[in-house]
Amino acid sequence: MSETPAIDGEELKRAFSAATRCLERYRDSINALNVFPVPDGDTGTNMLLTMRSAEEEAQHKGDSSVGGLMEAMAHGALLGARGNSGVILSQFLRGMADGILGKERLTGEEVARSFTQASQAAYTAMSKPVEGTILTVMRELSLAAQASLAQGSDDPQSVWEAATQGARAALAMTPFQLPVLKEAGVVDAGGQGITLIMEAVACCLAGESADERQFEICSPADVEPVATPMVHEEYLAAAEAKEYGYCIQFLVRGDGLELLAIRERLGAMGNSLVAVGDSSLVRVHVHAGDPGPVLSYAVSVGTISQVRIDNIDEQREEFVAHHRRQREASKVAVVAVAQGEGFTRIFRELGCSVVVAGGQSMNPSTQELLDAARHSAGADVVLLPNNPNIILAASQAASLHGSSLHVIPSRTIPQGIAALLAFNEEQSLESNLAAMMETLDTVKTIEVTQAVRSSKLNDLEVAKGQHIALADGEMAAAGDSPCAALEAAVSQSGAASGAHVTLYWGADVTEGDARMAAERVTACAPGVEVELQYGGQPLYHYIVSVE
Amino acid sequence: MTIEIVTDSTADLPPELVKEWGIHVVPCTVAFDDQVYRDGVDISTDEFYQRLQTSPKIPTTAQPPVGEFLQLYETLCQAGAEVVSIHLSAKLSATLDSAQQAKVALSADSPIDIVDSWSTSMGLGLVVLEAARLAQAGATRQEIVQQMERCRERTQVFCLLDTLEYVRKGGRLGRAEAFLASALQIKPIITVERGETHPVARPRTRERSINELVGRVEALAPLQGVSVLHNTTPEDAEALAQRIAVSTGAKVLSSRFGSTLGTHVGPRALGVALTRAG
Repeated sequence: MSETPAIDGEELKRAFSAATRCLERYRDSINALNVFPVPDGDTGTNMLLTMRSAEEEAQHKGDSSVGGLMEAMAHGALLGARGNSGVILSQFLRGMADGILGKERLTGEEVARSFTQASQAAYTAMSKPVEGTILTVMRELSLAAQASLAQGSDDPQSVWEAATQGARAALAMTPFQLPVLKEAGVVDAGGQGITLIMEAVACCLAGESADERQFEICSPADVEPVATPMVHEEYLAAAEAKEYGYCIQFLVRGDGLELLAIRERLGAMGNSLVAVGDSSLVRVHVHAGDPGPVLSYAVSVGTISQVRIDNIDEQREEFVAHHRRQREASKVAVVAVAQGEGFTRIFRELGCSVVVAGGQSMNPSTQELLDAARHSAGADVVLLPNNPNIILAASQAASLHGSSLHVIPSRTIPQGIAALLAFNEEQSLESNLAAMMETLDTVKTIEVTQAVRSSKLNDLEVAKGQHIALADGEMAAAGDSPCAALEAAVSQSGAASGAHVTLYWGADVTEGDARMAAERVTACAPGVEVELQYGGQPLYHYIVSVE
Repeated sequence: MTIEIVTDSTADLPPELVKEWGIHVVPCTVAFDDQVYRDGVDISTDEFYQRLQTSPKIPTTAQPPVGEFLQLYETLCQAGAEVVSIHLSAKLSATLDSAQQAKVALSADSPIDIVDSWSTSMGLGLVVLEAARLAQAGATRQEIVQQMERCRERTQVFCLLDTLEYVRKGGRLGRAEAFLASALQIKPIITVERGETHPVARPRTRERSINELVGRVEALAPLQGVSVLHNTTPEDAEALAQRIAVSTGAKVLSSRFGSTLGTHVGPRALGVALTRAG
């Protein structure tokens, strides 16, 4: 008789650990998806902290059964739950734990059952469940797991994988269920969080390392992604009009706590109540105009701890002001062409509305540039081509788009970055264009790549497979390793003391190699400041700016 | 009729000047974890920066309690004086509210004028010093208030940040917030003008940033008043002051960022507060 495939506690624990590490990596990306004006808006951070708390409890308990593991995680999550998304996650884990109570190992059927209970627990926790949020994603993933079982696959890995697909599909649809997400051009942050956890665990169950994987933050299906979420003016106005008061969160410990009674009493005192837990520990989250009665009631039924009171009005004002500023700021938008996850992030962070993927071999078309300009929603658009081959398409786009598309003829990514740093949204368009043009000559760029054929140019002999360094587009040096070519080029560039060198490492280089290269550059150019950043670009091992 | 000048501790006025001009300074509050201090009274600037750099959480600063204003106003008015009370921008703090409430509590027609400087730190400080000068020269309360309203239009405070860490943790830099987001090394300059923070420039190195700052200050000359500011790098402030003195010919004061701005700009910050000649 063949044994039914099943996961044991150790394996599941490792998988959840990996999921927590993933949340850490993507925390900021998930935080950036938040469009709701509530204090506990840092969904990425909240879910990460909740998972960490769950993990800590699991480490202490050391039970090797899956039932024991989930019980510990659920308890830890409840203790450490942060924000709405954290509480819902803790409920999800609680539901999973209830579904596999006492089990040693987890079969496919048990995975599906635990997801069903988890999803139900999450829904029950909310006094007003909203579709298009993490709840929908949880429900859909549990349905996908059930469907997978019905189709005959019963090994836990396949069921988990099916559930993960279900989560992703539901996540992509959240903007169609919640209008504000569509307006902002993002998926639900909590939904993204749970999907990431599912993906990381699925990855581990399949025997791969989740730490090396690049997971994708979901782009809404058929919704154009916008770099800076723009929340609609009507939503902002409505957000301003609502009275929120204080966001009150705490834990209550006691004997024989009655969850339903607590929910009833607190529900009458405020809004957005979430009260979850059991007879000895209840976590409460509620919005009320006066924290007094809420806390007085709580101390009458038990002892309170982890009390946190936030002024929602202040946070809301800031949220509204922040988004209003973003809308105003869109009068002049900057669009840049760049390749590489790191560069894309850098350009966005420094103020680019849209980053178009492009580069030495994948040049965007004139149409793509025009589309990007339109998406940026700027009355005037400044375009940074960052490549001599793209400058032509850029000028064509400018002549087609009309007088509101301006091209700053940056020939390299570092030039583009320098120009963007010179951009100040409070200054006039003319002043910005002048300032950005001025910076172009202040940056020298060195690019290191591998020679695709042998050549001899300017007394420089290069064998195929060697590494070459280009300085501002001209062949400058060659070497047997990327590092050697880089060093030679930097020495030649005559970087004077006080110069600032930024070394961006590409997708073909490991961080360790990049650190070594940075050290070698520092050694060969004394007095020079070397900064190391991840560019993630293809083809070029290193792109270096010398300023 | 004596006119007393009142301000708050965010003015970052050097103690010698406070004494010389007889200015009354109401302390704001600084809280590290749950310990609350009166700025400049219970905690010195040195202590503040020590704790700022070692404390895991950043401190919070708040306006002086109404009672502090009330006590001072009462004392001054009972002694038969008139008061001009000048404070940091209403967009940056609720201090003006506190002062206003105290005046009303005393009596709506007490001889107290409360003025928004539209600035902070030595921007506020320069405006206050101007008021003190006018008071000593025999100006009336109304004249002083009118001059303050003109003065604040020509006053701003440039701040050069060496680290973005504190801005990230503390937030609340309004229009400059997005400007200061960067994983790339930048030593940005922002300015507080007309009550709010504004982005100025994002140089990559401290040296270049200092040069940029000097250039901007020089472009605004002639100057009626100017002060350099620092917190943990006095030598840089000294050098900066020299350069400005040489190129603008103005008398350059020197002061330290107090806790309110200090919490946001972080250590190794530099600043220049100035009032353009009218």
